Amino acid sequence: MNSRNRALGSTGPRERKRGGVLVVALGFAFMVAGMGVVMIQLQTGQTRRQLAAIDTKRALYIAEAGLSEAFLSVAVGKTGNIGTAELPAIYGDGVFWVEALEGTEGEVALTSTGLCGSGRFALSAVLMRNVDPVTSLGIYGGVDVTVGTGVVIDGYDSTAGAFDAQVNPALPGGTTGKGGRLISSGDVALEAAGGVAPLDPKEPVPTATTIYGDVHPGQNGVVTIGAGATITGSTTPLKDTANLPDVIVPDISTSGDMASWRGETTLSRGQHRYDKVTIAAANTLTINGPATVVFSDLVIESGAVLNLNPLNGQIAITITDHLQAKEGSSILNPTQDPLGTILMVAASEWADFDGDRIPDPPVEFRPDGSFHGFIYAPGADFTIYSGLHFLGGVVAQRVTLETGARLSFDHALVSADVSLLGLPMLTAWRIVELPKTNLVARRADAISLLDQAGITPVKSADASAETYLAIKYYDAGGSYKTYSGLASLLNWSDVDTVVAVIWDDDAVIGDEGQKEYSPSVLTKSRTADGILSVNLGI
Amino acid sequence: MKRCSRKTSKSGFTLIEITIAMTIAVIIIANVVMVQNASNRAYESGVFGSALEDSADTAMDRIALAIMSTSSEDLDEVLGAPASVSRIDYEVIVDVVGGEPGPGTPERIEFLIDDGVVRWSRDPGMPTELSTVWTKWVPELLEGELFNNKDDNGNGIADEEGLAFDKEFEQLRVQMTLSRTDKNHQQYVRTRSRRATCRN
Repeated sequence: MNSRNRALGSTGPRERKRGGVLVVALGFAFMVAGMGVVMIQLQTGQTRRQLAAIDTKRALYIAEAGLSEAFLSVAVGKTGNIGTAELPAIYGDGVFWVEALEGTEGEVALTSTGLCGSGRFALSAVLMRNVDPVTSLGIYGGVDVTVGTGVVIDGYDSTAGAFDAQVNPALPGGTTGKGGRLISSGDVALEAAGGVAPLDPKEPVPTATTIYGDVHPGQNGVVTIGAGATITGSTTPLKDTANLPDVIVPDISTSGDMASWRGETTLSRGQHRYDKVTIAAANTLTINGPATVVFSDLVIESGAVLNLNPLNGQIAITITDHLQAKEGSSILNPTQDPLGTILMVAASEWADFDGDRIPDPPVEFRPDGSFHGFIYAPGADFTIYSGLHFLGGVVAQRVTLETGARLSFDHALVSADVSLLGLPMLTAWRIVELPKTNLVARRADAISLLDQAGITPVKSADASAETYLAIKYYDAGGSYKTYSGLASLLNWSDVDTVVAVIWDDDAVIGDEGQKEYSPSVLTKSRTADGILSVNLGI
Repeated sequence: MKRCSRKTSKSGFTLIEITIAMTIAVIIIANVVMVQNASNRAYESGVFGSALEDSADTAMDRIALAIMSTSSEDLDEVLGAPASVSRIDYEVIVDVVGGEPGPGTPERIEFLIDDGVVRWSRDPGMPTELSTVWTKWVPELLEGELFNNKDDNGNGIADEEGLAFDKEFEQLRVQMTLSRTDKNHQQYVRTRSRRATCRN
């Protein structure tokens, strides 16, 4: 037996023990491998949870990107629809689409759905397309308004003709007798009776301050009416306070100082920027619209003329530091259209601008004659002096009308379509439920799913629903042009200043009642009854 | 044959050989076990810390989204540094009417110091109240802070609790510490800080 076993190679007790160590080693190996598998499973579960959280966060960011794209789309006059659930826009490692719903009050509700990996997120934002323009505030003092003796405030409508043609001859003082618009976030004080110099010397001199129309103090403000002063309209307080946006200074490269601008100088249509500019006496600076002009410091000497001609488009002048129109200077507007001339003052600090070591106010505005325009100085005080008939509107920190001042508010400013910011206003943002679509329901990578279905997502920049446009514009050479057709076929390098544009998703442009969008021009649009009310709860 | 058989029976290990072999085996096994234990501890420590970080991040994400969905006017009770609060009451809009946000649903995020939890609730204090715990393991005070009326951890706030909100204009800063001890009595502390802007 032994010999047989030996012959088979498995002989005796010693031979039978061979492989024992291997069994032990294998046991160890299996144990270690088993523990490894358990660890890997634990780790995989944790990694999966972390990846899901990361995907959800990335989906949120992609949905946010969708809202931003739609915001820009609305800002240029489009509907805000970007991509669709069937053909979404690709962005980064994910896709999104935005659905826009136009409301009845000028609001646009955007719902953006972002998908990234297994993450899904849906956000909603509501934008106000037609923000109440600050021009509709009329004569507005952010702190208070003081009205001196003998001041006459009335209203007219520049869309119905010149002011003179609307004067009511039955009333003294050369007034229309129509309501103006005097508003303050604080108090309004009318000083006691006095005399006023009428525009027409033949007219009898009124003996007291007369305000045609309403005067609205702030929520906690009061209207103090001095002896003999008259307000023909209501004096109810505001139910809300206007939020005055900061002046946004256009990003234009400067041409430096023009310390003394002499002779007849003309700034043509387009964009210009100068630092310190002084228009010397007996000299004229003409600016032709449409133009966007920035001055750091503009001084109009006595006897100098600033001629603003908005015949072909609006002139928007932004003053960053200092505006001084000295007594005896003139600011002309041959069209007599207040909407054509917008003066914005970003400055709010007093400083020694003329080097006499005495601080000067950021705005000193005392030209002679008439001024047709709108002045927006949210951080500065503004005084209208007696030698000036101010036609249009003014919004400032503190508004003072000196004795005998004349102010006629242009109701066309109330319904100016575009706010000074020129951007839609976000009124609400929230997280919403995910839409019930196939792409959302299948918790797999959206790009892979689309790829399997043979769908190639569109680039986010090209995914706007509107691809056709009708545009009116000026080219670089100053020629007025129009174009209608695919936006991608327009030579955008030829476009210098856009006058108006209509977007559409098909070749029949504007057939769905779309309004013209004017990115740089305040337009006059009227309601049936002529005058709109500003959204201040009046 | 007989010689051969005798030789076979004598061919076992000597006591010394077995002792040496067993000693070596014990040393090897002990090393393997020690390495395995160290590895396990490191792994468990990593998993424990990572889970705590996940909890902190998830809770902070939820808090940030809640703040983003509300209006800064709803958070008037939140004070600026060096003061802070550990509870916010706010409203989340559910609809927009006529271009303006409609009435919202009241919600609350609060730190329950006795339970060491951050709790979110909708319709707080009402019969319809719905609440859930967003995270546990929140200590009484933020990491590095002592109850001594001083700013010990240099974040500009004195004696802030484990969940602290402070306000700067329309932004809320949220700071939260999670602290947890594992079965080996090792303490893990994770602190998160985030700023969120009220968008409504």
